[in-house]
Amino acid sequence: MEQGMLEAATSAFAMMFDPWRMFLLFSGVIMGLVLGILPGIGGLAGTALLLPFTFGLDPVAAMALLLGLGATTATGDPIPAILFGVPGGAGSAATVLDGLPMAKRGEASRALSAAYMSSLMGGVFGAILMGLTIPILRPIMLYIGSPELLAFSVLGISFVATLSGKAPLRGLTAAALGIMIAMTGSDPQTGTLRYTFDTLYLWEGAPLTSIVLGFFALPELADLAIARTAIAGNMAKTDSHGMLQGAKDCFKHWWLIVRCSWLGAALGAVPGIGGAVVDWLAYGHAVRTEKGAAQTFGTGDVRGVIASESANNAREGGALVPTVAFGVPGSAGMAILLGAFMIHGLVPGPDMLSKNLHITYSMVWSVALANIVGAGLCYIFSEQFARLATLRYTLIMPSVLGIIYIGAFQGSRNWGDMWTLLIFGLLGWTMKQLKWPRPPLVLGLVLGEIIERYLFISIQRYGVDWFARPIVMGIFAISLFGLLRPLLQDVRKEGGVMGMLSGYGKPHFQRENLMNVFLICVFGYLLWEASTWNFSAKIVPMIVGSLGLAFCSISFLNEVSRRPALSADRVAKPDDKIHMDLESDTGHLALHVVLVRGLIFFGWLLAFMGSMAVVGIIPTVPLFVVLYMRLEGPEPWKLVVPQAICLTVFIWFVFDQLLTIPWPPTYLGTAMPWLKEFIPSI
Amino acid sequence: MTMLKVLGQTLAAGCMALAVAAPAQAQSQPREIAINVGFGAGGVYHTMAMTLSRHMGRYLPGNPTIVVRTMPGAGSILAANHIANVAPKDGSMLAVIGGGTILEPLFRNAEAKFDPAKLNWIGSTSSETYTCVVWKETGVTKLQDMIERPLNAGSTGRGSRTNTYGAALNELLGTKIKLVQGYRGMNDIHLAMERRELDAVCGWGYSSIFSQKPDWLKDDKINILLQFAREKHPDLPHVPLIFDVLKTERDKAAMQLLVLDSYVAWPLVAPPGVPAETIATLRKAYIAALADPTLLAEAKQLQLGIAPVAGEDIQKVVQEVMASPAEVIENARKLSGL
Repeated sequence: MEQGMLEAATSAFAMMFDPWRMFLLFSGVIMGLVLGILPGIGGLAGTALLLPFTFGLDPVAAMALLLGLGATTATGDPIPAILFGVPGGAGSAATVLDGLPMAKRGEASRALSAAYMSSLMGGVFGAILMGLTIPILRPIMLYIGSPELLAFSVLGISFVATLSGKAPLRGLTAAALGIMIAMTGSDPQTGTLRYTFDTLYLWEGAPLTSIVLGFFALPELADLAIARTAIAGNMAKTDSHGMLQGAKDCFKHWWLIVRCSWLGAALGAVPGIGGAVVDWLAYGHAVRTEKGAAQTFGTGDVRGVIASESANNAREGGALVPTVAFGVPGSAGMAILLGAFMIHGLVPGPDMLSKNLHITYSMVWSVALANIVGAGLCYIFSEQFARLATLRYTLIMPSVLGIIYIGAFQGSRNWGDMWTLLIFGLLGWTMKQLKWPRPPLVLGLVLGEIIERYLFISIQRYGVDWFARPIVMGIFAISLFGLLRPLLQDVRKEGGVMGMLSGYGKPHFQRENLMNVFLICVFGYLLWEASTWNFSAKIVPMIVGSLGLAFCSISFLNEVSRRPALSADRVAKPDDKIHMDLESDTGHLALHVVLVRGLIFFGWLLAFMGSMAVVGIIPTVPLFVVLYMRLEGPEPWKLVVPQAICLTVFIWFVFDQLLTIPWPPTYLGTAMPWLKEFIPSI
Repeated sequence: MTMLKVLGQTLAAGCMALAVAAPAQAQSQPREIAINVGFGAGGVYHTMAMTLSRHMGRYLPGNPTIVVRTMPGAGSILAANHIANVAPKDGSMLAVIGGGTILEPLFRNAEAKFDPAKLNWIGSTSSETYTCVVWKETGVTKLQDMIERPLNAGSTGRGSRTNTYGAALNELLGTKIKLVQGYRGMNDIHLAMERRELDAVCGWGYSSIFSQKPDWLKDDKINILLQFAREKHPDLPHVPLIFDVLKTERDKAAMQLLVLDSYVAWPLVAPPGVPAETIATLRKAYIAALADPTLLAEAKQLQLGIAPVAGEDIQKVVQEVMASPAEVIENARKLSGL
C-alpha cells in the first residue's frame, strides 16, 4: 500500500509538470485571484463558468484548471480585508480583526506579506495532511456519523466563550441571535417556514454572503466615511522591509500555521461546516493557545492574520476529501467539481483511492501548487496594493461600495440581498460602535443551523443512544471545558462570586443600554413568532431564544447596575482580556457628528438602492461614483470621470457579460422597455 | 500605422452593419434568449440548461445566443413566479423549473403565484423513474420485507420527494419506513447509507443512480424495491411499479398526481401569453436540438439521459392534472405529508 501510495504521488507530480497542465493551472490561479479580490464573489461562479471549457481536456488538466481557481479565491481575500476592512470572502472576516489595525498603523505590507505567506504555507500544509491521510480517509469518514458531526459543531460553538473577549454576556447574546437568524427558512424537518416574513427570498435560509459583507464590511466603511481620513493616514510603509518582516513572522510562527492549517483542512473536510467559521475557529484557537494572545489579538497582532489566513487557505484542500472519497461536496465550489468528475468519467468513492489514486494525488498537487503560485503572484503586486490604504476615503469609497453592492447582489440575485446588506450593515455598525463583539454572531449563524439539523437526525435515528458514543462524549467534554474555563478565570480574577457581586450599586441607565433593550425586544418578537409553529420546528428557536433573552437581560442589569467607579479607576492589569473585535476610531468626534455622518453614509446606501430600483444597477454605478466623489470630496473631475468609466465597464463586463446575472426589473425599464436594448440591467 | 487604419475601418464597417441590422432583427426575433434556471450552479438542472444552450440557438431563426442564468430559491418556485409574472412575453426568456413545482399551486401553496396550465411548456429532456433503494446488507429484498420490518430511510425534509414517496408508502401500503428527516441533500443521504446510519432512500431517480453511484450497481450494494412513474422502466421489468401494488382507484388517482414530476422531470417553460407561433418554433427547435449528434455526445459525457418529452404532451397532461377533482387533489396533498 505505502509503495503504491508513493508511486502514485510521484507519478502524479510528474504528470503535473506537463507544460499544458501547468499553463491551465496558472490560468485558473489568475482567475481565482481576480475573483477572490472582489468582495462577495467566491470561486463558485468562476468554477461554474469554467466547467464547459474542461470538456475537451484530460482529467488531470481539467482538475488543474478548476482547482487552480478554487484553491486561490481565498488567497486574494485578505487584500480588501486588510486594506479596507472588507472581507474578500466569508472566510476572511477574522483577518480584518488584526489586519486592519496593522494597516492603520502603517504596516499594511507586513500584514499582506504575512497573509500571503501563511496562505501559501497553510495551503501546502493542508494539502500535505490530505496526501498523508488519503489511505485512511474512508474508514475515518465512515466512522463519523451525524452524532459526531453534531459534536464537532457544538465544539465550534463553544469558541464563543473565547471570541467574546471581555464581554461574555454580550458575546453569548450575540451568539444566540446568530443561531436565531440561522433558523430562517424552511426548516429541515417539517418544512415550516420560519422567519421568512412572507418572502420567497428567505426560504433557502439566511443569506450568508450578504450578511457577512454587511456585518463586517459596511461598518468599516461607515467609520472611514465618518472619520473622513485615509485608512492608514499618511504613514503606510510600502517598503520591502515590511514585506520581509511579514514573511519572517510566518516562519517564526510556523507551528501556529501548522495547527491552524490542519484545523482548517479538517474542518473543510466536514461537509456543511463551510468557510464562514473556519477562520474564526482558527482565530479562537490561536487566542486560546498563543502566549499573551488574549491581550493583544484584535489590536494588530500579526498572529491573528496568520491564524485566520492559513486556516482559510487550507480549507479547500480539506474540502476535496469528502468530494473525492464519497461524492459529498465539502464546499459549494466542490459541488461543481463533482460535476466535472462525471464529465471525465471519474466516480467518487473507493476507486479514487485505488485505481485512480494518481488522479487524486494530482488534485492534491494542484491545490498545493496553486497556493504557491497564487501567493507568489500576490507577493509581486502587494506593494502596489498596500498603497491603496493611503488613499483618501473619497477615492476608494465609491468603487468599494459599488463592488460590495453588486457582489452581494450576485449571491442570490435578489433585492433581498440589498436589504440584508443594509440591515446587517446597520446592526454591525451599531455593535461595533457600542463594543458588542461580532464574531460570536457569525459562529452562531453558521453552526446553529448545522447543530439543529444533526441534533434532530441523531435523535430520530438513535434515540438517546447517540449521546453514549465515545467520540461524542469526548468532544462534548472538551467543549464544556472550553466554555467554562474563561468564565472561571473571570470569576477568580474578580475575587470569587462574592467579589463579583460586591460591585453592584444603584441602577444607572445610559444611552448605550438601549442596544440591550432593542435586542430584548428582538428576542421577544422572535419567540412570539415561533410560539405558533409545530413542536419540532419551534423547539430549538424557543430554547435558544429564551437563553438569548436571559443573557441579554442579565447583561442589561449587569451594565446598568455595575458601579462605574470600579471599571474607570482600576488600573489595567496585564492579564486583562481585551475587547474581541475592532474598535471604532471615531472616538475623537462628538457623538452628534458621528451620528450625522453615519446617517449620511447609510443615506448614500439607500440612495444607491433607490437609483438601482429606478434605472438599474449598472447605470447607478457611474452616477454613484460621480455624485459621491463630487459631493463628499469634492474630487477633481480628472479623477472622477476615469474612475466612473473604468468601474462601470469593469462591472458591466464581469457581471453582465461574464456572469450573466439576471437583473431585477426597474421602473424606467418597465415604463420604457426599448431602453433595454441599449442600457444593460435597466 | 496601416494596421491600425485597417482595424479602424473594419470596426467602423462592423458598427454600421450592426446599426443597420439590429433594429430589423429586434422586431422579428430576439437576438438573445435567456434561460433562468431555478436551481444552483453545477446541479443537473443547470448542466442540462447549459448543454441545451450551446446547441438550441442553431435551430432557431436568426440563430440567437442562449444565455443560462441561475435564479435559485424555494425549490424553483422563485423562478416559476418570475417566468409567470415578470418575464417578457416575447420568447426571449425561458425558465427551467422542477417538475414537482407544478404541484405547489395545486396544493394551495400561497407563495406559488403561477398557474401551471397557463405556462407554455416547451418540453422536458426526459422523464425520470423514481425508485426505493435499500442497502443490500440489510437483507431486505422485496416490498413485503418493508412491511414486515422497520427501515431507516433518509429524507431531506417534509415536502421533498425523498419524504413524499416514503410517507405515501407508509400510508397506502402499511410499510414501516422510519423517515429520518433533515439531510442536506441526496449526497448526504448516500454517505449516511454507506456508513449504515440509513438503510434506504425512496425517491432517488433511476438515471441518477448511474451518474451518482454507478459503483453501487456494479458492486451490487443495493436492491431496487419499487418504482414510481407512470409506467415501468424498460430496464426494471422485475421491480414492481407503484400502480401495480395499489389496490383502490382512489389511491391510484392520488398517486397519479404525485408521480407527475417523474413524467415532467426536467422541463423548460415559457411565460404565459407568448404568441402561439413563437411557442411552436421553440418547441420544434427544442426537439431538433435534443436530436443533435454533438449535443447527444456531450450529454453522454455528462451522464445526462436524453429522451425528450414533447411540450404539447406536457401541456395536455398538466392541464388534465390541474383540472383534477378537488377530492383527488386533497388525497394527494395528504399523502405527500403536507
